Amino acid sequence: MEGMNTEGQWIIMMGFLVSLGIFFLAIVISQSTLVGQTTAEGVLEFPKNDIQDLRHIILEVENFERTHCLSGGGCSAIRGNMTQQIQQISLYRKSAIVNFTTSFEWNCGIPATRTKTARDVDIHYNNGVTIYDEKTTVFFVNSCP
Amino acid sequence: MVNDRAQLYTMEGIAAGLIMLLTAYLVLGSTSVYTPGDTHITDMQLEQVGSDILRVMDTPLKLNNSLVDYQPTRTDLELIVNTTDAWAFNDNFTSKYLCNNKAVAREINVTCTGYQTNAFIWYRGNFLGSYLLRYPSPTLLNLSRTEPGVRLTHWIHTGGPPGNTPNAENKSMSPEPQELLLEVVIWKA
Repeated sequence: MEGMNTEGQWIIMMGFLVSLGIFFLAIVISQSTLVGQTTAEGVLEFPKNDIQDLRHIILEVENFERTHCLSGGGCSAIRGNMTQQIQQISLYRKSAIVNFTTSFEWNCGIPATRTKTARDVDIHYNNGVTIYDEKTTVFFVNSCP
Repeated sequence: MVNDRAQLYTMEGIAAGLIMLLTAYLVLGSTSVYTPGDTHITDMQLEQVGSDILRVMDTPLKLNNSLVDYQPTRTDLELIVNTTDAWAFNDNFTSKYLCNNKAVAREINVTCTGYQTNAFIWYRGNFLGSYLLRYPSPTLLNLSRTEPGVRLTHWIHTGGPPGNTPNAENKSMSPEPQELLLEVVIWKA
């Protein structure tokens, strides 16, 4: 190659480097659609309505239990049935394992001036794709005598 | 002597060709074709609106002391489920909310014709069971020009087992509060 004019080598090399740079940028851009799609699918797949709905019914059960079972009436069997209904229908119709517990830790107005008290509700949800755990607190006016 | 002047041009040509091939590969690989089955955007909107409607229907109209004095039927939806009132369900869901331009689904009103609903209620008595709350007219089950439907679910807390159901097993449920799952499929016929 001794007969060739070698002054253009820099130009060729820089052109090559620039094209490599553009190439890597192209790789980054080509990934962007994939990233957007997987993110959107992740959002779509999250069972937002299911979880909101489950919260709603669990808080209904908590409300029933608080207003009926704890003021003297022995209705733990009813409360257990409600839990089982939610669990079994969830498993059968929504393919979701659901569990929830409510705390029994409250004290009736100690000190006596206290009018508001609170309970914890633990919610667990697992449909094989999404695992969701929540501990929520329900505040209520103390109806203890 | 062999003339080797073209060697550098050959290498440059090969490098340029490789770059062009890889670029074409990347460009072709980055386009993704969205089929109607992939795009759930409109379905999502309908699903959200439908879920919201069910929630609104399951909200007590009067909040006066309902936390203390538990009433057996407190919400529209609970009443509908308790009496298995198919007409009331469809009227509430479709006319009162989905297609009412003064209610939630204002945007849908433009093309709010032909929405069909099918609703099941799932319960657990001695066994798990279900019964039909509302089904569409069989003439509307022509699926040839149907857009994808969405499935909505809503949990309902009732003060007792739903009456007025044809299921003997359901009637044998004890008169306790029940947690029922309402399953609605909406589609546009």
